[in-house]
Amino acid sequence: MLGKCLKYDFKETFKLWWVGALVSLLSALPLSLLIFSIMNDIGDQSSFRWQVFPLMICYIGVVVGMMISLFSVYVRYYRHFFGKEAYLTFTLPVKRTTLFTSKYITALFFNIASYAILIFGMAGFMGYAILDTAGSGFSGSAERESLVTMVIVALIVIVVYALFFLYTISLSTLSYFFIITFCGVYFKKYSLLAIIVAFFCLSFFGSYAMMLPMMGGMLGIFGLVGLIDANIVSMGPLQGFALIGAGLLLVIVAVTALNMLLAFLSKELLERKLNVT
Amino acid sequence: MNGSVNECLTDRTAENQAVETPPADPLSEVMIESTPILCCKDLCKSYKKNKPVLKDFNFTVEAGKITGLLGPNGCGKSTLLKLVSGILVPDGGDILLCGQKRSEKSNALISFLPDSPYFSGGQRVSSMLSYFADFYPDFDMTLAKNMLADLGIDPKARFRTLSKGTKEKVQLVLVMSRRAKLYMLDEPLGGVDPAARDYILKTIIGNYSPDSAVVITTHLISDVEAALDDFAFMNYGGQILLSGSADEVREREGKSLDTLFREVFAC
Amino acid sequence: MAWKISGDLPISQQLYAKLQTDILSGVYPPGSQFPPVRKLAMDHSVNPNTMQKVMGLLESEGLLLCSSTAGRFVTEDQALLLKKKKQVQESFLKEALAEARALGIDKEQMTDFVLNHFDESEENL
Repeated sequence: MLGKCLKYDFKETFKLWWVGALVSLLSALPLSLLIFSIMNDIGDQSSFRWQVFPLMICYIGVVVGMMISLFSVYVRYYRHFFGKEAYLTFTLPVKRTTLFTSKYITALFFNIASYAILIFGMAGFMGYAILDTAGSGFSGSAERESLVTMVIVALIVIVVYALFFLYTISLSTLSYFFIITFCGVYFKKYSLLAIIVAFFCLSFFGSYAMMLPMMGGMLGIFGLVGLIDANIVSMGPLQGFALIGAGLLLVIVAVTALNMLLAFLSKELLERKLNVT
Repeated sequence: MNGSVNECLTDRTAENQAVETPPADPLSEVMIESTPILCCKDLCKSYKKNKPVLKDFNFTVEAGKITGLLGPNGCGKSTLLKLVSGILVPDGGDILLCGQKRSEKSNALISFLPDSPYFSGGQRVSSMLSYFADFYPDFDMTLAKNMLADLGIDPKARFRTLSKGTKEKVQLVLVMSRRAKLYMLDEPLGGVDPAARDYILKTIIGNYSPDSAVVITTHLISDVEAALDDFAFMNYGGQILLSGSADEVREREGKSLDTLFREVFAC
Repeated sequence: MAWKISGDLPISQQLYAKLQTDILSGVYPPGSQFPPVRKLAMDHSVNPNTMQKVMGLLESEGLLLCSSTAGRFVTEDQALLLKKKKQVQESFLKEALAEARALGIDKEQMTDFVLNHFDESEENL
């Protein structure tokens, strides 16, 4: 049944998602070009003036497009669980946990896809920026540490970033799901209003949820710095790796605990408290 | 084969009286005492505190029966159906379906027609059919398509473009095309024209099976009366005022169900 | 089908009368296969169990015969059909007579009317 749920969740989410994705892609392409050209002729007042206005438009386009594509999954969630479709949703011979899992997987996929589209659109600028910094960085450093350490560090950085990225998406998905579920169950008629208010609140206070993984990340970075440059922080490689390990562990534990808590609460609400009216 | 038929014929013509022979029609098979399809025990539900919609509500539906749940507006008919279908959670009491406590699994046994449309406007009728076919293994696609053709509904039409009555017809087609144990129809005749009403009634009757049950709520008693086995009059607070066999009312009281309803609930 | 439930009489009783008339008037000729319960119930928009009950009644009177494999048939016993037909006709006439009496129609008026109008085609009446 999960497969069938996924099929329809993907289909329905895509209907709204592609609009946002297209807008953000179409805005990101010229945006990256504009940033590129501004960076090329910094100080040139005459060209800067005509570049700023389209830059703003493109920027707004990217933001709006991303908003639409990211929120398409929540729109689907709300409609399917609390809209008029709910009558059908909850009379299907499918477990509510399955329905929820399907929504979660769909949300992860489409959120990652949204960012992928954005990164793809900005690729021109990003490539430039990376080449630029990499070029200056390597030319300036005379003494090279062993190549092995560099590769390990790079890998760790990539893994940590990927984990952090996944964590952010998963946590935001689950917190939005939880908010929608909570408001849908307890506010009923005013659920949509409550959801909007709660979404705003989340964007203000949501950063607190990031505290634990942030701490983990800081530990990890501390360890990294210790590994790379003994002049800044003095510690042996063992300590460095231990710190990185502890950091990663903290991130993972925090991620799992927070995500599971939110998923569990949403599921309980859906199963025990939901009265579709 | 032939011999037995002839025997039966001569036997009958000679005696001219009823002899208990095993009838050919599956409808007349002797009903074995079995667990009821639906059994509600001391069901309680209130939307607001101290204002119960259902209080210690008991209700049983046997297999092979078409039951009419009749009562004034707001007496809790829809609430009951929603509780059984699982979109509302009861405050207390038990709901048993085919002897088993209600769970998400029971959804496979129930075909529920709610009182409001539940499809999003952009969907095509044909995609709704495949949606049902995907999720309900007991959905009969050819039957659904035939019924849509009978009612003159274009499967390619989008839900948004259909009139209110047509929307109801589409949903009824979906619900009746399943081979479920319990059909629960909330006001199936409310918003449709008289011709479609006849068709819907015929569909419900034609769908009859000795091991499934149908519960219908409606205000249009005179329309459904002839199709009912049993009836239950429900009053505010979810009490059952009167229940029994629909045709026996006519025999006993000498008045139609519609007349009786008007008397019982006279304002 | 034009048949409709009317008044407050039990539905099974009304159905019984209707089907009996159909059999006696040859809508279902003697010896022919009788439609299955489900189809009859759908055609008349009545509950299948009620229809089943009515069929049982018709069977017990011998108008319908049942075979365990091939369904129901209309009886071929002409004597029985004739007897039943008479019964139904007489009871109808009795009712008509009672109503005529209630309206104050006397014997002479009645016989005159029958003599004058019986041969007229239905449209002229």
